[in-house]
Formats: sequence, C-alpha cells, structure tokens
Amino acid sequence: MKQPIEFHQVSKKLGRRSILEHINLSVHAGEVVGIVGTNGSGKTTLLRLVTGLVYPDHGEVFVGGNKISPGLLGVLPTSVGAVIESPSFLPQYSGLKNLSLLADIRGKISLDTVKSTMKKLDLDPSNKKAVQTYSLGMRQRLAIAQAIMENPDILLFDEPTNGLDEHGVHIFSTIMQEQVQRGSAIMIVSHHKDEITRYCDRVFGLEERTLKQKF
Amino acid sequence: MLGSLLKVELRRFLNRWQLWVAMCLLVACFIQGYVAFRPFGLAIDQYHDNYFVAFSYAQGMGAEAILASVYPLIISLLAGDSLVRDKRSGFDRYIFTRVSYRKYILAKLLSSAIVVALFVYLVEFIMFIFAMAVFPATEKVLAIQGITPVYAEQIFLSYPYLYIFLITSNAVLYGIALATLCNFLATLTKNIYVVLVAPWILLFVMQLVFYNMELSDYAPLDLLGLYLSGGLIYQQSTLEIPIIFLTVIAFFFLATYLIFTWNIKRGIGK
Repeated sequence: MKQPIEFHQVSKKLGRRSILEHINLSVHAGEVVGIVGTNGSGKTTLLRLVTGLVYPDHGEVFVGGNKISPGLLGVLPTSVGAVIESPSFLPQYSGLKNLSLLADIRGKISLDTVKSTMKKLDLDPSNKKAVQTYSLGMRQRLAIAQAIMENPDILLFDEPTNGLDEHGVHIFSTIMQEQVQRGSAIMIVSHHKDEITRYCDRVFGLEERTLKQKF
Repeated sequence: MLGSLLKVELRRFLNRWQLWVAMCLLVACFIQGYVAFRPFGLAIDQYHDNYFVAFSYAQGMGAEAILASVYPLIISLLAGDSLVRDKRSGFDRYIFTRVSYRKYILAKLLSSAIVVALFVYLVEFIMFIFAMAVFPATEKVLAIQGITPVYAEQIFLSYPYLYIFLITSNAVLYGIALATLCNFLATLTKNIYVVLVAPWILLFVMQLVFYNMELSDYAPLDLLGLYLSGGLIYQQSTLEIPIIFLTVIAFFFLATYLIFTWNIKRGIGK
C-alpha cells in the first residue's frame, strides 16, 4: 500500500553541487518524521521535492501514490499544507485577507473556519493591519495557519518554531497532536535537534547528502 | 477551480488603491482632452463641437490630447503587477499547493484582461456621458475635414453611437495587450518597476523606431488615438486596428503561458 510520502533512491543537485544522494524514506499517515541537519544540508530541498516545487534528478518521489514529475505542481492527488522557507504573504493585505484569498481558491472551508484557525494560532482575525507590519513570530503563526486551515493529508514544516515565543511553541505542539490524531503525514525539518525530538516519531539526520536514522 | 481562482484574482484587482488612481488618471486625461478640444462654455457649433467629435478628440485623435502618452501607465498600474507581486512575495508557493500552475497562469492572464475591459468600458462610458452633458448634441453628424474622424468614417457618419463603442473597444484591446505584456515581463523578472514601467518606455522607443522606418501609421502610440484622424501615408481599415491588437494579445498570451510553464517544469527557485 502506498504511503502518503515516499522517496525512492532520490538524488538531487542544485547547480553542480550534489545536495541529496540515494534518499529512501517513507512517511505513514499519522506519523511525524523529523529531519535534522546543518544549514545548507538539503533539508528544505526534501520538502520542496514533496510539493513539486523542484524535481529529483534521479529516483522517484511519490505523494499520495502519484509520482512527482515536472508539471505535477499544484495537481497533487492529495492535499498538502506547507510552511517552507520564510513566511510569504502579500504584504499589503491583512492576515485574514491573505488566508481568505487562499481559502477561496478551493472553496473547501468557510471564512469562519479561517478565523477560527487564526484564533487557534492566537492571531486576531479582526486585526486589519497589513502583514508587512507583522513581527516574524506573527508571520510564522500565519504561515502555520495557512498550512493547517484546510485539514490537509500531508503537512510539511520547515523550521516551524522559527520566531515563535514560548506560548507560540506550545500552540504548535497542540496543533501537531491534533494533526497526528487526524491522521496527517507530517515531515518537519529543523537544525534544532531538541525541537525535532519533541514532536517526532522518527528522526533522521541529513549528513553528507544521505539520511541516517537517529531514532 | 479556474472559476474560483478567477474570482479570487478579480477580487484582488478591484480591492486596491491602484484602481482608484488609474480611474483618476483616465478621467483626468479625458477632461484634459475635452478642454484642449474646446474650453468648456465655448463649444457651441453642433457640427464642429458635438460630443462625438469631442470624445474622439480626447480619445487621442486630437494632437493636444495626452491620453495616448499616459494610457500605458494607467493600464500597468491597474492590471500589470499581480503576477510579479506573487512571485516577489513568494505568495505563489502557497497558491501552488492548492491549484495547478496552468490554471494559475490562465487565471492571471484572463483576470487582467477582464479587469482592463470592465475598467476601460466603464470609465469611457462615464466620460462619454460627461461629454454629452458638456458639448452640444447634433441633429446630424457631418464629415468635416480636419475635425471629424477619418477612421471608419462611414460608421461615424451613419451610426455615431456605434462608432463610440468601436473606438472604445479598440482602446480596450490596446489595454489588454499592454496588460498581457506586463504579465509576460513578469515571467522574466521579479522587479515590479521593470514590469510596470518598461512597457511604457518600450512604446515610446518603438514609436521613434516606427517613425524612423516610415511606418508611422503603425507606430504604437498612434494606434491608440491618432489613427482616428487618418494616417500620414495610409488609413487603416475598420477591422485592421482590432486585428493588430488581437494578434499582439494572442502572441503575448501564448508567450507568457509557455515561458511560465517552462519555468515551472524546470523547477521553481534554487
């Protein structure tokens, strides 16, 4: 049976530099897999491969049973929520406006659901200030809200607690538990090993372009 | 899902300050054109000064009307920057987890065209009504050399209201071509200022090039309004103008789609 996320002998170069070599990994539904590594080790590239933002040079990535190939971006067979790299919103709009624009694309959730998701992340939906005035922590929370609001089957988090205060980290922990109970397959990448081990069922280290299981 | 994405894009266009600035600029250009045609209060002759002629003058037929020079900037401001802003902010990455990139780029191209069409038709309709209030009506439209339009003259003389719709439609097509050019530039760069201003500069440069090549009748800025008064060498037929614009639209539409999808297939970013 196909897992939500599968990597089979995946290799990837960025320019001339080999970033990933012979990556084999599968993430089951309801499981949280963590990837730790130093800056520039290729952790974010792993997540980008799952979303289809980049493609493997060798090997195969399967998402929801379908192979990621050029042109599959945005037509993945299963829903994916992602926080990859820095939070990226339309700076002139409020947080609610940004999320409601995204929610209206598929029309799966109502405005009330968007608002309740924001409140879950301790963001005020009635705040009319533009996102460009938000602190890093607020933008990170907004990015997490964006990822979870439509209850996706797969969640990808790149340094999810970056910029979050203690309360924000606690909120994120709660959200992780909820998503696992829902049966989402979750990948988290971070360079903070302690942070990863708190949330994850399995942890891999990305060392010398390959994955080595830590626990 | 293309429909819902289109609605989202249209909402974005209609819900920003650039729309109001573009409207003010277009209205200001028309008022400037009307005043240059006949200062208000001095328009008394129904054959020389009627509102059909006034509107055509302000549309760009008149040598003193500035609309042709400002129109590219108006359109860029209105509908030229949506794609480049998504790319620059990274917002497109969130969109791509929700909808296919093909539908995304189609929605961008279609929504900018729809916004331009709605905007130009509406504002020019309002400005025509304004002209009807300020300039005299006429019992009969006459052809007066040097005063009335030469382009599609028979339509002007027989069906003047239809003529107004025709030249407004030409302006709409011109605007859509400009908006599509902006989207095309957005596939090549993330610099908002290049996307917004380069089409304007390019048109001025091409204007000079066409004049130097003795192709002034097809010079881009002349194709916005001066073509109404007849070319220096050659007068375009009625359908020739919209066909030129439709060809330009089709070219940049296809080029934008192909380059965008090619970039996606190469992989976004690093």
